[in-house]
Amino acid sequence: MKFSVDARTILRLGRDSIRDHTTAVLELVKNSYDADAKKVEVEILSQPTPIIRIADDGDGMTQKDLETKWLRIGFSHKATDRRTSTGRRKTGEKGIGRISADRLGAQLTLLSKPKTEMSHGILVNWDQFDVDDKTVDAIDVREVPAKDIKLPGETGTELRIENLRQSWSSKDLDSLYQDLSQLVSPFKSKAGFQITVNSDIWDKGLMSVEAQILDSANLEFHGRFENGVLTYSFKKRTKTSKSASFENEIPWSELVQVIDPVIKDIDVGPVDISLFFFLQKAAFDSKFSLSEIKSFIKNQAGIRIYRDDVQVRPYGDAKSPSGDWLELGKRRASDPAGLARKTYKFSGTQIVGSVAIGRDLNPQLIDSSAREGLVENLAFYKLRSLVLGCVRLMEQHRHNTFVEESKTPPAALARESIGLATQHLNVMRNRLVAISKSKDLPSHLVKPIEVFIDQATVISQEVKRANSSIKELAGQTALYRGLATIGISSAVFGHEIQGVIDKFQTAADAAAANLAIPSPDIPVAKHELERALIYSNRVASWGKFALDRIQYGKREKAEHDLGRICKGILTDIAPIFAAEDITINPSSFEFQKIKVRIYEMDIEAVLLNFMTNAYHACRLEARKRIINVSIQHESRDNKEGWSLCVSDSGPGVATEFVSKIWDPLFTTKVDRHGQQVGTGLGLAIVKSISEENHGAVSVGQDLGLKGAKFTFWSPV
Amino acid sequence: MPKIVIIDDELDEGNDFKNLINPNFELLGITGWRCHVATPFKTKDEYRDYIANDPEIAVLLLDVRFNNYTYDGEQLAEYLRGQNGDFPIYIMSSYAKDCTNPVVEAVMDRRDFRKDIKAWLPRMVRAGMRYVDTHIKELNELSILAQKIATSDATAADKEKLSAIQAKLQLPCPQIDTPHTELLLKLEKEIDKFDGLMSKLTKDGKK
Repeated sequence: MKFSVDARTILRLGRDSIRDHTTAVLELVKNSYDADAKKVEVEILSQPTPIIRIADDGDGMTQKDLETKWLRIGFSHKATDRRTSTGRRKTGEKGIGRISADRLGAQLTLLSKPKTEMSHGILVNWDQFDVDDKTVDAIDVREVPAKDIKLPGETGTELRIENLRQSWSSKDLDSLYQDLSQLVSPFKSKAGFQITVNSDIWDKGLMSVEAQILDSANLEFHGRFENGVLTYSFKKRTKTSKSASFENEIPWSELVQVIDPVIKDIDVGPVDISLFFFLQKAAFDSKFSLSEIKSFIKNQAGIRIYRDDVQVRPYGDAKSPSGDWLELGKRRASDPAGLARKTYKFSGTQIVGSVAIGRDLNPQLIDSSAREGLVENLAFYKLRSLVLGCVRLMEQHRHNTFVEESKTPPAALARESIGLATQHLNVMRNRLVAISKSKDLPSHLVKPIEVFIDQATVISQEVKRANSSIKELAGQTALYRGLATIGISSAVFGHEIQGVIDKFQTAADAAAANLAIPSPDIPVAKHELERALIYSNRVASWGKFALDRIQYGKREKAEHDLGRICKGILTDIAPIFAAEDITINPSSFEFQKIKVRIYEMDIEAVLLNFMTNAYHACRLEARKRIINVSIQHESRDNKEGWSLCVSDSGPGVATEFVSKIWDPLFTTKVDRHGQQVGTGLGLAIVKSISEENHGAVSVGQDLGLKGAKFTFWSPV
Repeated sequence: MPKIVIIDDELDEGNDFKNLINPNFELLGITGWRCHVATPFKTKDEYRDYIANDPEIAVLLLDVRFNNYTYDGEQLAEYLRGQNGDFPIYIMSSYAKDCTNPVVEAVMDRRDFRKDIKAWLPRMVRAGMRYVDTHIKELNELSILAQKIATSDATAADKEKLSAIQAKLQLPCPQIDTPHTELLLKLEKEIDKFDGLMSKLTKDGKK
């Protein structure tokens, strides 16, 4: 006695287990993939009679293959022979995908042409299985000739499905197109599996998906998780190119904070994760138009799982209720913080991603028996946590980049934008000129293009003018900073200078009085006149010092010897400091030669503001008053640069003020009555200069002098 | 010859003002007065002896900021006031506005003093003269009262007045309540001693 199989069983395996007609087409196309096809043609025609045609250029099937494999329900050579001859990992192991055809139509004609045989075919009428009291093997499958087989290659298989179960609409085709484009990971277009869709039901003609559109992503994340560590890097698309960050590593325990510790020990296997973030804004140098990108995002948005390069549905499918397996939409809705906030989150419609796993490499991630998805075991949850961790890393990177770029001073941003605009306008103009010279240009377009060329020229000229204005404004900014610094210094040193002026007047008055008495005291008068001269020279030198700071040449960017500039300033102000018993460390005058391209006025402003601060600080402490100044080469983050440091013997800067002191109008200076003095602008000026030069400022304690140590760093 | 003394840690600047003040005395017809300059003493106590040992010092002109000293001009003025409430003290400084509670005759900015020197100098001289006159008057009064004590003619009021003057002038003196006979006995003993010496010398001389 043996088991027999009721004929209807076939229909239950096929028709009843396939969700919809789109899935049915997908199953049949998967078979083409497993047959090493490079091209699959999917045609859905309504005229002259409705038919679905799926033809590939795969290996084809021999007669024997047909009889012993295709017609044997439940048999799958994929269970034993997992890879194709080209190394593709085969999909579907249960051997029932072929029955999907029944879901589409009652009649299936299968024609195949293998390499070693003539073409041959069979005809299957699925409705014949829908009968009572018959077993599967009682129903004949007819052989048919395959003379009119139509294949995209020399070998392959063509399926013709007629007596369709349902009619197809344009919307159905859109949906099918979208599903087919996701069937194979767009991230591996090199696999050479191209699907075309053709139909007389929609007006799009022949369609295929271009995977290169991923190059238009604004930010890319690429990570590999293996042995408990995620190694990852970013690629950011700027206005000019794509820049890559260095590789980073992060262990699982830092990436994901999971309450249930059991997940930590689950070995999910190696996982490759690629995430692509799209801003959906026009970009000049993209190969794709904004509308193409938007269309791509609409079809592709979501983070999908691909096992051996074939998508595992429904993960990442926007249409499926369980498609948002990472709950990106819910995350965003619960906290819609903007990019400037630390808790910034992507929306599900901005990100396209792939999570690549393999049957062999990730055996703990198991197919669900419902033909869709994976079994939601601990390994699956670990995978989910891992991918969410990667999403968070990317969100954090985007936020940090935004915050960093926000610090770029407006002038620098303006210059960058103008530079790019000029460059792009020239490219655009040249392209238009080339088009205008083309012989194939329709005559009605000649004049409009000439007008566009003229307009591009005018815009380019206006941009150049704007650029000149920006340069001039930048020079003026340097001038204003210099003037402000003079003003600040005058306020601090002003008392000293006023004192010198008073002494001059006293000496002059004394000389005059000694000459005015009845018996003039000439020696005393002469002595006082000499003293008046000394004082007047000091006043004159301060005046010269102030005027020297704003000389025209200092407002132009040029190469300068930093040591010479600093030595000059320190020599000029040393007497003012000496009057308060403040010693500027003599070694400060021995500067090494460092040549940089900068506004001379800016360097002077930095040093003068630091020295003004130090002057005030030294007077607050009873100990010996000393100021050290140094300049040296210094590299930071692999960038060559230089730093200027000023240390004083004052009380130092309290920890709570360390970050605030650079803010405009913030001051801790008080006079002996406790009244706040000082403008609070000196250090803000220093900071603005550092930002313009993409440098950095900091304050700490000088261990030797016990006071503050201010540092200005700039890249060369 | 009464003096105005400038106390300034910057000697050069002090001398400039000295050279300004001295001819102005002459131009203003103020005779007998001179200006001198001194750098601050190490401690405030030293000023008491300085003033006591030079009875010509009639006015002090103080700067406020003394670099590298433990006191400043305002603190010095306070101390001196405590010693002698009438002594004329002025503050003249570029940091005049930094004074919080001056106990002096006036606080002047240097610029203001220089500009109005012809008004300030006579005012200072008058203050100095008042002090000197009062000082001499009190010394004379002290002499009269002491004589009265010696001749046992002093009333209780006289004794009180004498104590007050002694305290003001900070003069050391014996207890005025001691009976005069004791003083006389002491004097007689001294006179006897002196007579003895004189007799001896005379005898030796005759030999």
